[in-house]
Amino acid sequence: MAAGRTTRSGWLRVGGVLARRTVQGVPIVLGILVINFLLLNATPGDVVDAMLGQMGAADPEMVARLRTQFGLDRPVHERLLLYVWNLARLDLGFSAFYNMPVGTLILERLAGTALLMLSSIGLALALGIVTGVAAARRFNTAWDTLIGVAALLFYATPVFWIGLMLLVLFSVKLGVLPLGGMQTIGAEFGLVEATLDVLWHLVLPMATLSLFFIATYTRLMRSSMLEAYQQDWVRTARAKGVPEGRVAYRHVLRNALLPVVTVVGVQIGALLGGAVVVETVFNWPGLGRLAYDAVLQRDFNLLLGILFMSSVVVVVVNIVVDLLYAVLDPRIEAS
Amino acid sequence: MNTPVLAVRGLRTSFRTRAGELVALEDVSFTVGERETVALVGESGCGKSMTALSVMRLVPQPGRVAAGEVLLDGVDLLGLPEPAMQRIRGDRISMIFQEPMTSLNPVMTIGDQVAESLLLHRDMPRPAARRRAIDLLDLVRIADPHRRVDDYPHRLSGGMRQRVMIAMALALEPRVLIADEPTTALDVTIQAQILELLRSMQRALGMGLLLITHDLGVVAQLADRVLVMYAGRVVEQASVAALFDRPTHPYTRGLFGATPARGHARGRLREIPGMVPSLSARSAGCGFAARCPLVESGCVKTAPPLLTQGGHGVACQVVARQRDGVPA
Repeated sequence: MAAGRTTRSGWLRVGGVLARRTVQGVPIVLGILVINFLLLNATPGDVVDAMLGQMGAADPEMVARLRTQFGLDRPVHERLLLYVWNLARLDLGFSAFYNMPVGTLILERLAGTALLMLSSIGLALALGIVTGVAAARRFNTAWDTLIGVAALLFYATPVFWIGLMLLVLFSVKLGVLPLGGMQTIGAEFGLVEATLDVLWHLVLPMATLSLFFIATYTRLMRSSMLEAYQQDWVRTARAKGVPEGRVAYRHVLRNALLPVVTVVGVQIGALLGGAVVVETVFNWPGLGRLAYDAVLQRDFNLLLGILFMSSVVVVVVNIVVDLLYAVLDPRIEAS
Repeated sequence: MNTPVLAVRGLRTSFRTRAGELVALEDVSFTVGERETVALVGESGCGKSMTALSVMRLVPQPGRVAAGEVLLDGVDLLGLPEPAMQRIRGDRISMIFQEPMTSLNPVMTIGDQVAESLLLHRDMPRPAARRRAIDLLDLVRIADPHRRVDDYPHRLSGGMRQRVMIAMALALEPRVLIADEPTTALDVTIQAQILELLRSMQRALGMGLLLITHDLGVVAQLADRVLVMYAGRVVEQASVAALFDRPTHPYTRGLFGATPARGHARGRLREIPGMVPSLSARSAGCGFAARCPLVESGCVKTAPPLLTQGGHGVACQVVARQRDGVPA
């Protein structure tokens, strides 16, 4: 279906971009890690303070023992080097609060966040592109205005508020969708039922998280399409007798997608941020809520691990975006 | 040069704006015969391209063809529903454009762009369309068409891209080809090659060619007949020989005066003073009156009709009176 047959030179092009961007990505992730480490160490309080706060008593001897046990008595540079050394062996350290390895904790929650984010971005892209194209094709008509107003509304409404309102409507008043969580607790399901159960729980969080992005992509897609429609080759296509639908989806859309792809890459950070809010509202077991709890507990090992994972995700997504760009735009050569 | 494949009669194209209806073309009539090349000349803004777009029914919004007929082999294109027109565009009448650098889709291979017409109009299976595209690229003399077919436009020079445009336009052997300043953006040697290619393709396919240009040299080289347009109207129409022999309308004479000729390389060219009036500044009278050396008081009142004498049509009341009074 894609217009370009993938040629040998096309694969070389894409491979070149992949190699270059991967090499660039490693120092970026390391840099983010070091900055995060130093920033977290500059904040007042550590996990021992948080634990003592909960216990309500402070025996100086025990405090010192706990700090030694967690390695918090060592100088910062020594701890940083140790952290990086452990990381090189894929060991993200130990969560003092959960009393579990950070790696295990993150893996447990990663699936939830990945499911939420991927489904939201997929939905946002699909709907955003379709409505954006529809608005551009009906430029300056009532449909265009309607889509524009709806997009502006969802763009401007806070995510948590939309989430709460959807909960009130669909879960409390209508009772058709669950109040929160990722699956029905205590239910004995087969594989198919379990999957459907998760999807049923996913509907509201996904809708909440994606609405803002649907609005963004719709607006972006519309303006991008309108700009592409001005190009000379659109007239060429029409002069060939290409029907308008094919002009839109086959000629204009692929050119108009480039700015959207860029924004998806840039916004992946914002999507992670949005996931924290949505996971909190819907009690969704994901990395966002884990990070939130880690901040409250001063569990820096856990927080560092999550931040590291997030930076890897953002860098990887940006590499994927660059690859997509190279696939979509043949003018980008690997050099 | 006998039966016209394309006959345009009384074409009127206008734009609806807040300032009212702006008329871009008024009473444009001409024919293009089989194997005939008709040149449409005039300055920028005279309505040459608008004439082409009106014939193709590709006038951009908020423009529309308000009146007239465009007969292609006797069928009025203006009366067809849009899907029927889509089947005709690119099949029986096609068009190439001035800007080869921007007229090809940058994210589709040239092979796919050439093959698209074949897929759309002939329902050809993909492999056959691709083979035909390679043949067509070969036909327009693109070297190594087997390799080039998978190239994207940015890898091609301007001349090569115009060849691709020609291959695309001629893929289904149209009855009429409209070429809108096909060589303006190209350098001189490439211009000559493209013109030669157009001429040989026209001979091979026997199609009518409507050539839009402001280059009188190109006209002399390629055309059989010439239409001179000014401010949305045809002001003079004649065979190439007659027009170059005796340019009659004051605007045509101005055009010839502004063209460098051999032996007159020295000195400043004579230009026509003033500019083409904008659409909103057009009046009821002769569009050229404001710039005309022969202007009289009657010129600004009504637009003169195109009066034909011995195959040579001129729309100028001063010239008409001179013709009557002083037999040429």
